[in-house]
Amino acid sequence: MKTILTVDDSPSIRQMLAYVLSSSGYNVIEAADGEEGLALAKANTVDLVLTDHNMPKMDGVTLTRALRALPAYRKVPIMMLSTESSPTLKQAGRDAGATGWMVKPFDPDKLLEMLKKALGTT
Amino acid sequence: MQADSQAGVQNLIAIGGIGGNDRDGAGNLNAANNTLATANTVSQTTLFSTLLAFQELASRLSSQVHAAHDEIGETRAILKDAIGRLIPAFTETLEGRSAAHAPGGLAESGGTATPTFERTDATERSATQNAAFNALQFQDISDQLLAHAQCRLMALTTELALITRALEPTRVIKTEVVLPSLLRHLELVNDNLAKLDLSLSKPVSKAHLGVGDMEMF
Repeated sequence: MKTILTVDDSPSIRQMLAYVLSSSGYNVIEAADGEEGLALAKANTVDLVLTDHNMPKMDGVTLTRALRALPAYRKVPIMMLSTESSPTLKQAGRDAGATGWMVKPFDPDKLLEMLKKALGTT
Repeated sequence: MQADSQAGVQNLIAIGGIGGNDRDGAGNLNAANNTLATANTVSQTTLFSTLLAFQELASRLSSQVHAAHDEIGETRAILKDAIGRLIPAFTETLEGRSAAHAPGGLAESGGTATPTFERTDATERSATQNAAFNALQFQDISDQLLAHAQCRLMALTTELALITRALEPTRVIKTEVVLPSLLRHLELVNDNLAKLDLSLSKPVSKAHLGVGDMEMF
């Protein structure tokens, strides 16, 4: 079973992601901000990180950069899921090492499709 | 006092053309410059009451902005509370349906068996359920917009506080001292307001709940 780390400061989004992902056969670990996400990523073996951008303590782009600096996360897919869609910010995400960018609100089917693609399980 | 203040405002408007619909304040600056030139004709008493009237106005505006800020905060809290109840209820309903339709689930055991949650493939979710998932993300999106509006209102209260301080009647000594000081404050507030849009990046680019774009890098 693949493990996905979801990082979002919105409890409602975390709840929805947990439901959609776990009901599709994924093991889900949840973090409420970038700092917690980084700590949980270090403490667990994660197959994919799904992170928001605008969060307290540490934003998603900074988290991505921090994860890419860890040897264990050099090749782990990191997907950004944000309300932000500015090309400048997307470029910042790409430069930090993100694998893809999804703009909220997400459609469960399309989200799962993207995650399968990122995990190479399609 | 209020009648005196209003009379003072009327006098200043009459001689300087201050007020009107000028949104960027540049017209006010010019008007104030003109006023400075003819300020000697304004009595100390009239100037004092005029400044006092504007100070009271700034203070009242500040109270209104604070109230709007607080009301937005209350709206955010209500939305957060509502979504905190809606999502568990929604997922519980879906899980109940999933269990009831699964082999050995509630539907086939007369409702006495413990629900066993079956894996729900993407294809098993209906379009209506997916649409509900989209719609239920409204709180996250609207909360960011509301927080953004609150930041803007707080910045406005800072500027109003600056204006209130500038109009402090105890600082009134001489017209030729007061007016240049007011002009400096006016310029500062205008500059700060011009920078406001630059310092607040809009976090949400869309005003509807249509599904967002997705791209792989």
